[in-house]
Formats: sequence, structure tokens, C-alpha cells
Amino acid sequence: MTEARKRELERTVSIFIFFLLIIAPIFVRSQYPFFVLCLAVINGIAVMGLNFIFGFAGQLHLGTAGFLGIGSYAFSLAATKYGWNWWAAALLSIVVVGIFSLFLGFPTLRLKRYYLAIITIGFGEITRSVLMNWSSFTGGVFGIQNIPRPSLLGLQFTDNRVFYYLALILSILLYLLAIRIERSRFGRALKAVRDDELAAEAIGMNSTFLKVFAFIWCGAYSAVAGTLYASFQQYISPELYTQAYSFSFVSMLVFGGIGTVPGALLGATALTILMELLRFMKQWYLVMYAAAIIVIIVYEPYGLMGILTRLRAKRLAAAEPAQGAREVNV
Amino acid sequence: MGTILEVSGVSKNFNGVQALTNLDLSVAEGEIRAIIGPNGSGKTTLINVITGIYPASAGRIIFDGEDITNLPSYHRVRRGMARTFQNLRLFPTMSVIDHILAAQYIHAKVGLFGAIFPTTEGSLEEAKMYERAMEILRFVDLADRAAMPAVSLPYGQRRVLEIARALAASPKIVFLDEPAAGLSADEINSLEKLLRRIQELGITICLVEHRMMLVMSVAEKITVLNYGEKIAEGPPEKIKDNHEVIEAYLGRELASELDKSGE
Repeated sequence: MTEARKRELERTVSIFIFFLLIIAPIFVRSQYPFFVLCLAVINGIAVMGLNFIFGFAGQLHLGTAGFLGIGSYAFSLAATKYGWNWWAAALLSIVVVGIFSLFLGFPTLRLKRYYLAIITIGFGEITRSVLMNWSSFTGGVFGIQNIPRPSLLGLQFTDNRVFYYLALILSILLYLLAIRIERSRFGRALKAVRDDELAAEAIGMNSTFLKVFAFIWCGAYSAVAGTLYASFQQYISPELYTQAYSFSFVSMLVFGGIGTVPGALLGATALTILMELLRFMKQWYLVMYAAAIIVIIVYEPYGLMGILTRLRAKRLAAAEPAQGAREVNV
Repeated sequence: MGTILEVSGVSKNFNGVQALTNLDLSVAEGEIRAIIGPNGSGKTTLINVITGIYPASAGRIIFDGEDITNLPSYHRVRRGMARTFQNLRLFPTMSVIDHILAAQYIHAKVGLFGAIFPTTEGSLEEAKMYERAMEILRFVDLADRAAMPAVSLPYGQRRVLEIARALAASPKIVFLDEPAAGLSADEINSLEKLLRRIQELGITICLVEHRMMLVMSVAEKITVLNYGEKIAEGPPEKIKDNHEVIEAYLGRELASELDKSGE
């Protein structure tokens, strides 16, 4: 498919997802499904962040939970212990995680291939241990309680529903931002580095800078997700930010369609909800969950977005045979 | 015409394997230079050292009056060097025009904010980049393929796309590593015309090539390498009859037989 057709499909998919997320609360009455819905939106933000470094820059990042943890804690400590304004604390969280990604990314991303994956696994584990054991500062295993909800122009977001829509609006804004970055020269440069680092440097790109650039965006998005999570739950503790949580972000991205922003959103929303829908299977639910991921990825390496792209290309080929015959050959 | 590239005493050593030994090379501005030599003679290594893929083990490289010996490769591109690769290195997920747009990355002036947010200067620059990309594609005769994925192009056009991508970086000198490899006779003819048109733009061309017909007709000067050393240099007619060059390609025995039969 041509670029224009792909963009058209991406727009359709994202509008569809956001539309569903906007109307979903009408059908969800009880507390728990509503929590899942909110989690889907927050995970969507984190996976859009992961897409910068893993999808666009092609560097496997296995420490998203660590980033989320630092984001949650930076926000929560500032907002509770030090009594910061909600928005200032959220901003602090972005800055703190951004700095962490800069210092973690710069030495690691100068190297090519899989070093980032190894370093970030270690980073995630270290983060969790520090949060757990530095009790005097982080509250240790007891975590942090009474984390505030935001207020804006006198509007209080104490109601879960109102908070949900705040998260959703942020998600839409971050989606638009990610799309703008993708389509700017920086997005093109990131994809060039992912496709062929040597060739990218041969047209003058500083690949280390570009990878660190993507990693910082990833950190910023993770910080927003971490902040929203902490503020929504109003309680956090270290055992949330596990390695398994990091892996689940990676599966969401791959499941939805790596390298596309709507794919990130689609994967996060679909898998977060699927995980809960499968719970009735008791001990089998993780098996089914894993099986669903494997089936999709084996069938189509670009996940749900890849399947949709294929279907769309087939449709177009049937509609305009002369033009389409050339386009299917992607 | 001045000298645009001055390589002096460059050596390259890969863990004890001497790939280049004390090599001098001087390329004049605007010329088409061919670098030839048998397989393994160090031609590609020389290009890699000049463009900064590998650091030189010894020696100096002066480009456009500036010592670039220790600059990383992307800084050399920013000073006006571009190249193609012997084994095609296109971006597999990108369309034809995206290759050309991506290669203009370094020349964009609008900063991060202007490029990401919908600002006037940002969209003006994007439009200008697009305009120039189409111009370059028309120049290499790929304009009708602009929206196609690069991987769906036939082999010959992929080679041309690599040259177009190099041109999009606005180079003063472009290194082409075996651009004619795998091309048909027809395609080589149009490649030759393309090389001449690139020269007319004022861009210096440095060509590594095995197809002697192309080299002999297009190059103004030929540098011959063997075992990492320069064994001859001069205009094509001189190189054609150079005994050492023939020896390097055919071996001593055959070469001396050829000499005898020539007499």
C-alpha cells in the first residue's frame, strides 16, 4: 500500500479506538471493569512511548515497568510528602524519568544491537529493589497512600469517570504528538536508523543522538502513564513494577503492530481487556493469553495493524485492479 | 581546479591484516575518478576509511581544505561526502520518496519544535523538502515510482535509488561502490549518462568498479590498487597498457606472455 493509504487506515483505526473508549463508560457500570478500562488507556500511553524506542528506533527496551515505577514514585512523593501541586508533580515526574533515560540511554545506545535489552532488564530489577528497600524515602513495601487526584480550573477529578476522561484526553493529545513526531524529519530519521544504521549514518544521521532522542520520548510517555496510574489508584507499592509487567508492554506493542502509533494503542487496549475477559478460565487464562499473542504474531509479524493493512490492500486490489496489482506487492 | 580530497599516507590494519598500506590519493574538484584493482585489493576499505566507517590506522585525510581524519562518518557527510554501498543498503520499510526525504535530514534548518508542531516554517520546509525530493527523483528518472516501497523496485532501479539518496545529501563528492554490479548493458549505458550528468552538477565522483568498459569510458583518471597499495595511476589509455596492472589482474606468467605476443 502507498503511504497515503496507510495513513488513511491509521486514521480510521485510531478514530475507531478512541470512539470506543469514549463511549465505553456508558456500558460499564461496576467498579472493576471500569478499572480495567482506565488501565487500558494508561497502558496505551506507555505502549505509545515504548513504540518510540522499540517501534521507530528498533531498540528492544525491557524496562518499561522500571520507567513507570520511577514516574509513579517521583510524582507521588512530590505530591504527598512534599505537598506539590498535582500538575507540578506530574511535570517533575516527566523530567525525572527523562533524565533517567538520558543517562541510561547515552552509554548504552552508542552500542549497536541488543545491549539496550540487557541493560534495561537490569535497570528494571534495580529500580524495584531500590523502591522496595529504601524505606525511609519510598515507604518500602508499604508503598505510598493517599495520592491525590488533580484539579483544573476549579474542576475536581475525584470522580473516577471524570478522571477517566482526563486520562483519555491526555492519551489523545499524546497520540497526536506521536503522529506528528513520526511524520516529521525526526520520525523518518528514526526509521532510517532502525532499517539500516550504517546507511543512516552514510546520509549524515547521528544514530546515537537519534536513539537517545527516542528513548527520552519513551521515558516521558512512561512518566505520564506512571503518574496517571498512581493518581488513579491513589496507592502504589513496588511489587507492581515487575519484569512481567515490562514484558507485557512489549507483547502489547508487537500484538497491535510494532512501528505504528495506532498499533501501539490497539495492542494495549486489546490485550489489557482480553487479559480480563479470559480470567474466567482460572489457571488457563495465561495460557490462552499467550496463545492469542503467538497466533497473531506467527500469522502476521506486524500484528493486528498488519492484518488490517493486508485486508485493506486486498479490498483496494479488488476495487481498482490495475492500480491495486502494484500496491499489494508490499 | 583545486584538489577536493587529499589522502596522504593512509594505512588500515585489521588485527594484523594490512588492508591498506601508506596510500596517497589526490582527487581534483569536479573530476570522475575510478579506483580499480583485483578482489581484495582494498578498494572498498579505502572508501570506508575516507567516509569514516572505519578509522584510519595511520595517515591523514584532508577534505575541502579541512582535516577530517578523526571525524565520525556523519560529520563527514555534513561537510559534503556521500556514498553508496557495494551491497545495496536501502531502508526496507521506506518508500522511494522517503529515502530522498530522509537524506535531506541534515540540511533541515527548522528545529525540533517547528518540525513537530504545525508551524508555518515547519510545513514550508516540509513542502520544500518534498519539492526537492521530486526534483531529484526526476533527475534520476524515478519520479513515477515515488510512492512505491523501495523493496518493490527492480534491482537496477534500486541501484539508482541509492545514488539518488546520496545526491539528496547535497554532497560535494560522492563515492560509488560498484554501481554497475549486476546491471545489464542497457542499464550500464544509462548509468554512464547519469554519472556524466552528476558531474555536470559540479559534483566530484569517485567510482569503485569492476566493469572495465564503463571505467575506461567515463573515468578521467584511474587509480589502481593491489594488496592495499597503489600500483598505478593515470588516464585510462595509460592504465590499459601498464604492465604492472595487467600483472595484478592476470598473474605474472599470463602477463608476460601477453607482453610477448604484443611485441
